[in-house]
Amino acid sequence: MDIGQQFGSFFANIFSIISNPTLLLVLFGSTLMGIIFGALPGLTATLGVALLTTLTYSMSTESAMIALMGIYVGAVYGGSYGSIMINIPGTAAAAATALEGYPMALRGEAGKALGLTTTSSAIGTAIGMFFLVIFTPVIAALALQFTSFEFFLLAFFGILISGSISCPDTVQKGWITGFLGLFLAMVGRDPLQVYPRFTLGMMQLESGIEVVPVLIGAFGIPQIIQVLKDRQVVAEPAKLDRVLPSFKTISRNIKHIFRSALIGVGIGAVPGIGEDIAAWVSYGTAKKTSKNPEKFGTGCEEGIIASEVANNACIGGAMIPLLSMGIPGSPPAAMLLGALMLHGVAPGPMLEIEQPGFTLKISAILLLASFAMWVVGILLAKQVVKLLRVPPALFMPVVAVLCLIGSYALGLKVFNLYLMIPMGILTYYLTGMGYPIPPLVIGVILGTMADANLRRGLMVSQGSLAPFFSRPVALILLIVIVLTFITNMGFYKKLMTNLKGRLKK
Amino acid sequence: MIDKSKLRGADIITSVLFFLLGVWIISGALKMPLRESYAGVNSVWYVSPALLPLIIGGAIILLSISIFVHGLRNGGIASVKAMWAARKDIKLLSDANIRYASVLIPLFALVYMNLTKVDFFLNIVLFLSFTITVFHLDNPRIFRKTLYFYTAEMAVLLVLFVFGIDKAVNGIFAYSIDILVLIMIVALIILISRLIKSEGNVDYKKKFRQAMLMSFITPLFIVPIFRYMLRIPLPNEGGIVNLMSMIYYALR
Repeated sequence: MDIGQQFGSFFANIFSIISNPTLLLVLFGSTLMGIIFGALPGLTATLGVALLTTLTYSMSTESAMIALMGIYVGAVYGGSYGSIMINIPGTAAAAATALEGYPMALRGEAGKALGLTTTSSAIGTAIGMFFLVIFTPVIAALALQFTSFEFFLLAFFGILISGSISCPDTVQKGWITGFLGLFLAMVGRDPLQVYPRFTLGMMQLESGIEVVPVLIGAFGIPQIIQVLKDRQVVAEPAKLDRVLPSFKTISRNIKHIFRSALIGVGIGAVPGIGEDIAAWVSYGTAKKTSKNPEKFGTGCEEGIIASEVANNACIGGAMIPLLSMGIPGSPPAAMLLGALMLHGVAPGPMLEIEQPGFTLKISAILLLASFAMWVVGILLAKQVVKLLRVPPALFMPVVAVLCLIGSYALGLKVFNLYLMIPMGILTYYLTGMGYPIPPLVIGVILGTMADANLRRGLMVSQGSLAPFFSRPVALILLIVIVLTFITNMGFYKKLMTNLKGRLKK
Repeated sequence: MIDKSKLRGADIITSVLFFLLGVWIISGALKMPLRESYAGVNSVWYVSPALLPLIIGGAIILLSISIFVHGLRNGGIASVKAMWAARKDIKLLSDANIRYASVLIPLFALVYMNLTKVDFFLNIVLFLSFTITVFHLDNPRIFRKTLYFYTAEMAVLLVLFVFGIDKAVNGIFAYSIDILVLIMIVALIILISRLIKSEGNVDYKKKFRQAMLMSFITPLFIVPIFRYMLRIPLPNEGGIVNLMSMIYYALR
């Protein structure tokens, strides 16, 4: 497809959605639902996508994608409501926004702050969409040249990098949870010889561990336990008069917007790294490069823009590896992968061959979701703010019920629920002890791909490891993996500190 | 995340557990066909189902050793000793533990005990009416007493299910267990109402009303959405769900 045809197809997709009242209703409804989900402390974008996935079975793939993208975009933006109005970020992605948004609200500028986050988030999502359109076909074309060796290394790299970046403590903890995820993916009959592995003699485990219940268990249950266990007092939201779109402020900060969007897309494209890290990195960069860094923390516009543009641009970035290689770029994207598979769509290099125009359709949905988010954000902010008064104790047990029925509804297996609860308790304790959960989820998702491709590749090479070194892409991936490993080791950090010390002398 | 002083001690413990997991994975992998034939197919090491599990097990062992050494170098042993010494001060029925138990006990009862035995609608109402009420009221006295009462109710159900009494009773009248659970819900509500009355806090009454509203409205939405819109058969369709089905199909 040439560029002209792509443009035509993109706008045809947009037109087909906006000309269908049902799809428009789904778009605006799911975006509003996402904003509410993001705004309520304790409910995350991942959980929102997970719960909505179960309600999209009977929908067409297009409607389901509109609903899921709508809730994803809405929830990432919605987190800023809690940050600005009560200084409690609705989602981790909006934590950086609280540093600037809440001081603004205390100054009586809550409307201005919310307007700024609304417009910044919409711009961030749109820029992310632009990169999605540009890069997905390129990476997918490149991925078509990949053989089993490259796919194995890619899966391995995904686990390693998400473990390295998302770990709050020592990097080994990130990696070990990644390997734990890989191990969980090994449970069940293996894809080549159909040999039962680690099934403990249980019939239910022979078909393996299903991804979606693991995701709901890993992200939902710890959140429910945490919120209910820790007493959370609901603060009175700041006064909100009118939400202003803040176009002038936006045009003044165009440079920061593009830089933050690039950071958001870049971080989003790294497997397993979510919107929270994108927002913090962008906020940190804005502070470092600002002419007035002392203003940060006192209600600075640049800070809000940096955090909000980046976390929403991250959505488009996270979709790039998902659609081009089948590797989710963030935890909500991991959930989307599960949803796509439920609807018979297999993301990866073959996606555009099997489902021509699917990437453009997703891009069109993303653009419309950013528009819907802006409209809903500007018009209904006052109503959403009222929901911040609802104590988590009233809705968290309901979320628990939704997690359970959602997991059960996938394949009607009660066994999924029996697995989900221990999974949730395990991840609750692991999180408490500094073990990150995204690498575990990435491991579960990529485990089958890693296993099948490693053995398939070695079968072709008759057991020779030479293709790892002789194939250019495999070699590059191998070097990147080794570098990621070495640069995260203690001896390397010591060596670098010593070298820097000597150079200074 | 727990604070740094305890974290290294926790690292020592988790690394040992991970090490054992790694050993178990490798021992499990070594039982898989490596070179010998399986199902009539001659296997070679590189197509063996044990290949990746061996790598995973090995990696987990190495990483767990690394975490253990890191913990050891950063005061992990002292932290473990301090945790061990502090065990006497830990009160099993402390407020924090009661809160934790109030999340886990209903969740376990809902999934592992009642899901396939009790009508789905009633199961959810029982779960929600307990959890929402105790956490929303957030009064230590009400919390404790309600949890004890709820646990006793669940213990009764557990005895019925373990000894198969539920089957015998349901054999006499199909919805006996559902009626029992309904009585349990009513008893729970009466207990909480009396506890609230004795506290004399007007705000509690309002919160209790809100909790009850959420507890009954939630399944009123969830059950029809999943059962009639998405056409998903519920894990147990007892008295209430069957009644809803009768009404639904009569109106259709």
